[in-house]
Amino acid sequence: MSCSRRTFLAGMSAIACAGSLPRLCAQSAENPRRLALVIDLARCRQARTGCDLCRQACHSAHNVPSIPDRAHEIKWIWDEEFKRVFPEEVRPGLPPEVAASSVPVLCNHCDNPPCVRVCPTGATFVQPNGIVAMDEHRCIGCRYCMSACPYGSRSFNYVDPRPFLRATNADYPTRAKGVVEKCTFCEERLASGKRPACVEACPVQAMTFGDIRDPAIQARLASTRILRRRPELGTSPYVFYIL
Amino acid sequence: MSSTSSRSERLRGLTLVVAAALLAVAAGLAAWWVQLSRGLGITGLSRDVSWGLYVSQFTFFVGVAASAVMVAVPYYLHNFKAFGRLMVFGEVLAIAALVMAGLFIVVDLGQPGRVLNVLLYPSPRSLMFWDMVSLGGYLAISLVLAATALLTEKRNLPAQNWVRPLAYLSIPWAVSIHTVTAFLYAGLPGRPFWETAVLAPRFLASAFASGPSLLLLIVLVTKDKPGFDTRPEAVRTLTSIIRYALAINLFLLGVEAFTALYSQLPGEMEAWRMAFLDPRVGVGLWMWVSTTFNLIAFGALFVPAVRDQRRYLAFAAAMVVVAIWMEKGLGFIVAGFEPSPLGYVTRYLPTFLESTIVLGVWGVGVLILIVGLRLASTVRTA
Amino acid sequence: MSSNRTRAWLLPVVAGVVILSPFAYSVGRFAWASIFSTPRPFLQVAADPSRRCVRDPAWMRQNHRVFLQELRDKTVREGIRNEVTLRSCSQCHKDKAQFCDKCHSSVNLHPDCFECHSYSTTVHPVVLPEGAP
Repeated sequence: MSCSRRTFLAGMSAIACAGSLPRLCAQSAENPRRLALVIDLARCRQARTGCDLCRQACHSAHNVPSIPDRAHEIKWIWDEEFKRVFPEEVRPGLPPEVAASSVPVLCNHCDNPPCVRVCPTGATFVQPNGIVAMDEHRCIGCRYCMSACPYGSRSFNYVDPRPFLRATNADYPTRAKGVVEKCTFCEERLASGKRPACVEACPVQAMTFGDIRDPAIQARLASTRILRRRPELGTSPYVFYIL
Repeated sequence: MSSTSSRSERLRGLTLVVAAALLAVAAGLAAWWVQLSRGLGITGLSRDVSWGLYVSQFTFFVGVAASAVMVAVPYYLHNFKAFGRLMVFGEVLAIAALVMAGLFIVVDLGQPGRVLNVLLYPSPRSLMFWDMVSLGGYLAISLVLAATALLTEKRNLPAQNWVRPLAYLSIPWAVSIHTVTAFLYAGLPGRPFWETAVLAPRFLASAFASGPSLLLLIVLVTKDKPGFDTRPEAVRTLTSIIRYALAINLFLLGVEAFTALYSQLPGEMEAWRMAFLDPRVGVGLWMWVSTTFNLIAFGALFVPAVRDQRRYLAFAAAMVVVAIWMEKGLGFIVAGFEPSPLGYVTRYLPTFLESTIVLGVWGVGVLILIVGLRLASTVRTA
Repeated sequence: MSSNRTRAWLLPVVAGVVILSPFAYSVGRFAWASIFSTPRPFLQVAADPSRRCVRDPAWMRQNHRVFLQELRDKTVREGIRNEVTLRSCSQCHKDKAQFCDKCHSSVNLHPDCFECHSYSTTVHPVVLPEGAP
């Protein structure tokens, strides 16, 4: 029985369509979001001097200890001087209020994270939504990720953190000594539809969080004065700053 | 009789060394116990300088282990018979160094009980995984080669057929262990001081200077002991190897200096200046001193009096070891963290407990070395 | 000499005893607990007919370790958070000392779950600072 070319082609394309249908359906339903954070530094500057609310909200929600010895401190999000965060932006003519401002810094949840590449146990890994996650159960505390991170976003538990907790959020675990921790984009809050603690706590709504394709995020990113930390390193950070 | 009195002197000297090593191991264990209960906060490490003496010592001793290849290559590939009796010492030194390197990693971990996670959840993209694999393999190879060398000497038989391919394998493997260790540092985008292609060659060059220097010290110290009759030819060749390796090491240092300081790239220049020229203790003083020692030792090795007189040669070899130990064993690691990604300079000084743990690991290495050398001596004099 | 030869076995035996003693101790404790400790109920409150454990007690006794580990990996590594959590157990088994520790202590086992996680069901609200919207 000969199969004419037409029937053959029709049959093949039918199979191809049928094969791709599940994938096409999946693309809309399951295609994971790629989460991003946009920080509007102009709005951030409008808050009162020394505003620390993002850090306080994050650290209290996640049982981050307050350790007085700076060598052992743990911080997930905190403020740094502009010239330390964006040294390449320091130039003659930079507006003084910008030069003197503070910039909140945190893990950038990079698209090409060097910390994930170097982790020998897979204790830090990338989730489908782009979050660079930490598995504290698997971490052996080698601190290779801390050497690899070009932003200084990671902290190590040099001591037992529990004595340094001001208040404990029983809904979230603490960590034990000997593991590395960092911002997790509030992955546990996202599961119940909440926004990250820092985003919610900001008194001037300087932070916008969501899928990179979200129109609200896209609108913010359309600004021409977008900065990313150290883009020349190829890490592709997903925390964007509006200058 | 002079022979019996010198023998009892030797035994007394050996007993003292063994006793000191055991004491160091006991103290190190006690200090490690404190670290296990209180955490790595007992060290001088910090959020900005997260690797220090432990990882640096690991780096140095991996280099010493790799340097056994400098004895293997002339002996196995070029039939340099003078190194025949030296091979076993090289293997024993490599084994001691590898065990020390492994112990330094274990004491550096925040959760050492979970160390097997590296093998349970292999991460081929991580250099630390490959470090564990290559070091483990090299330890196995060294143990087999040392054991067969001793057994064949004991029974006065020629080496078995399968030993030679294994010895050949150990040569590129030795180079690879230290290259992988260099890759731990050289692949990190955020650390400009480490981010140089010349790092692996530099590591190898400094290893090939410090390892044979240690071997030379062992040879010179044990020269009169039974079973340790190393030919003067071997000593001369070892000295040449050290001299050339040190020359390459210094040349590569100069190359790095030029690239960093002439290009004036801010990250590179600042990192390099802070590492080598900063006079602050806990920042750059270590490297400053070590580079000076390197230069002095290099010059000394060319002076004929040093070459010909055992005492001066031992001193020069010791200086090489100390200089490279300071550079690779502490300065290099700390320098990579200065300044931090946000521009902070945080001093690192090892604490007393930290140093005690390091001494404990050294004690283990010394004990392995002594056991290995005694075995070799017993086999040869029997 | 004969004294050397007869005492040649002494060192290996002593070394063997020293090295094996921790294991012997653990095995001994486990055997003692298995033989002499009487099982007591794990549930201290009246069983609520509307609630059921995710598995029956016999299965849990045998498999709770693997069950919890798989749950942990699902939550942490796959991000699936709608299921049973570590704290679901404490809603009925309110006393950790009677529930987890009783058996674990008797065999000298100390899982470190609650060095980080909290067992209590008391929820402390997140302390958001003043001025937060």
